[in-house]
Amino acid sequence: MILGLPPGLLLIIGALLAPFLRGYWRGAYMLVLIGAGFWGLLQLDAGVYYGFELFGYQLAPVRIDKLSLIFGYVFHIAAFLSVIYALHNDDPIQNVASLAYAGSGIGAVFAGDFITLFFYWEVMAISSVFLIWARGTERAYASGMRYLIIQIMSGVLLIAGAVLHAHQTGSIAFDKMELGTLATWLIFLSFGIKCAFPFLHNWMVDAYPEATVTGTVFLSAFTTKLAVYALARGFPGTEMLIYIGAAMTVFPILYAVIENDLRRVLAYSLNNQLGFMVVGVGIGTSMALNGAAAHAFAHILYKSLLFMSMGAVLYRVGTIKASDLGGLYKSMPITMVCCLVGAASISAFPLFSGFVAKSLTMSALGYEGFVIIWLILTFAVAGEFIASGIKIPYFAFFAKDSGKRCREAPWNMCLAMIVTAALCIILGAWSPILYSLVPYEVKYEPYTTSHVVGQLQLVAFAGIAFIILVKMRLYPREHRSTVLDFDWVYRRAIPRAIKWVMSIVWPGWIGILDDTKALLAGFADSIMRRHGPEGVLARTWPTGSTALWVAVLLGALLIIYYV
Amino acid sequence: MSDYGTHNIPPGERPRWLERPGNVEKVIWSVIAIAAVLTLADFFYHKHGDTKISETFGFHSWFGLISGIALVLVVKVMRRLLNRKEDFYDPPAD
Repeated sequence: MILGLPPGLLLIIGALLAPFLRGYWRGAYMLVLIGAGFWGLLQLDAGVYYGFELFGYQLAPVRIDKLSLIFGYVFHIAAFLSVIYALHNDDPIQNVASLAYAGSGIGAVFAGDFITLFFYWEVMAISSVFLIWARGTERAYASGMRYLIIQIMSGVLLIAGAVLHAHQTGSIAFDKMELGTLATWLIFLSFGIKCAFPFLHNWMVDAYPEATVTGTVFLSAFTTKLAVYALARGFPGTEMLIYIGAAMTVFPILYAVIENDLRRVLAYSLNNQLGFMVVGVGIGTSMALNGAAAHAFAHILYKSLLFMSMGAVLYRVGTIKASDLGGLYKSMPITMVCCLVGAASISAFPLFSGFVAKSLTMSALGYEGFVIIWLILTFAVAGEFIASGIKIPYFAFFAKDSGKRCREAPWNMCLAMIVTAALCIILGAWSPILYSLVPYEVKYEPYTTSHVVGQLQLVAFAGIAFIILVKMRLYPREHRSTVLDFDWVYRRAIPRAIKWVMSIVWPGWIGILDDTKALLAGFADSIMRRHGPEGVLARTWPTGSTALWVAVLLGALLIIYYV
Repeated sequence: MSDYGTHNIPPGERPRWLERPGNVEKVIWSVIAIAAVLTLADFFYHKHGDTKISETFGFHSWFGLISGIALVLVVKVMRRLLNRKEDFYDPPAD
């Protein structure tokens, strides 16, 4: 621990001091801060730190073990590389927000109890939304608003579930739970939102492409992978996750093939990759959990790399729409090569990090006998290759020359991309490095002839499928469009339904109000007529008629009295 | 690939390797050749896969081909149903 602060809190508090430095000093400060946090992490042995009691519950703000460490390490590395990538960006809001976001992600990973987790959960939501709003467009504002609402909602579900859970079990420790009570369902849903489960995923594919060039690189690393960690910690071996994960690997690639905005394509493919991790968590064996953790580690790096390369294109060219791009390998060769490394990693090419990680999960599926799921995931690997591995580099850098020419990406972006690409290759070529970090002991060799040849066959023939379809003009052309996803329900269907109901109810309600008003007015009127200044009973009468009426009344009284 | 060509290139730039006629075809044929070699490689080693079906001859080859084709054809249908104009969700310009 540096300065007596837990690793995540160090970055959050340090972020607040960042605006006081200028230019490259600020960037250097941020890098030193992250380095210090990482070094502090390396000094810690397994265990719980800073534990204290609150209202009879035991809090565990920092819990170190192999599962949290692998995520903690990669979060620091991702933050470090992303800050280098963003060195040219001196917008203080983005600098503070990105560092605080990274810090809260790290803090959340090491949270040993639900209160600490909830605290960092909400700080993550609040800090990250500024990376979306910083883009400055109308769309970014609206998208960020939807993002914030959904993220806060997941926090509310979390604390509600945690409180119920504490009431039932007497402890707020964040450990393995059995899915079944209302409390665990609420927590499960909260994790599911952040993990982009089917129907809960729209916030991610909606908001990530709307964020700034550098913001999206940060966004892609933390929230979703924290959710994977949370599921691995809280619900390992929950069979439902296998099916949810399998669904998550398939339907996003359908959208990734259609989408025109290449960063949205990457967001959908992020969703697909999360599916593999969720399946690993669902299987729950040590091999599967190792696979999920290793995949998360590798994925953070190669996904950041892909977002970095697309961010560089957006930064230099001004657009990231596939319909408007092409031929950029001539202007941005370094970016192109790094993008290809990222694409190879995500497609699980041998010698790249994705291969080493995905093989674990696939083998775990095989051992446990989930043949159908294995087939679905193999289909997803081939599909992902077409939807991202080919699509991203092809439409941005190759394909038909768009005529756009620009400079290569700035030196800091190139540096970040090259280092990340190197890491992807190193992790892929030397599997023991990644395997030494995973939670359980590994006795697995990914580089068997069968695995290598099989994977190469898969991508080679998926590639041929792509070539055939393009040559036969069957591959859908990229053009500008919006594609309807589940968010149509709450962005279009429900508002329209509410408007329709109101269009019937509102005039009716106004009518009722008007009729009641008229009724009351009529009543007041008739009273006024009788008792008002000109009314029969309140008028001033001439004395003569008063005397006459008094005589009549007395006469009537006499008659009634004597009869 | 049939869309590559020399349109849109700013004047004064010399054509690159991929733009010269016939070179893209060379790339495509090499991919096909590599794929064929990979499939035939299945004869030369004992296959040990994650599942029984993946141990059959050339499994990953034909599965990859079918996956790719099926994916894109399904996507074409989906696109017809789900595509809208780019400004679909944007508030009406007032």
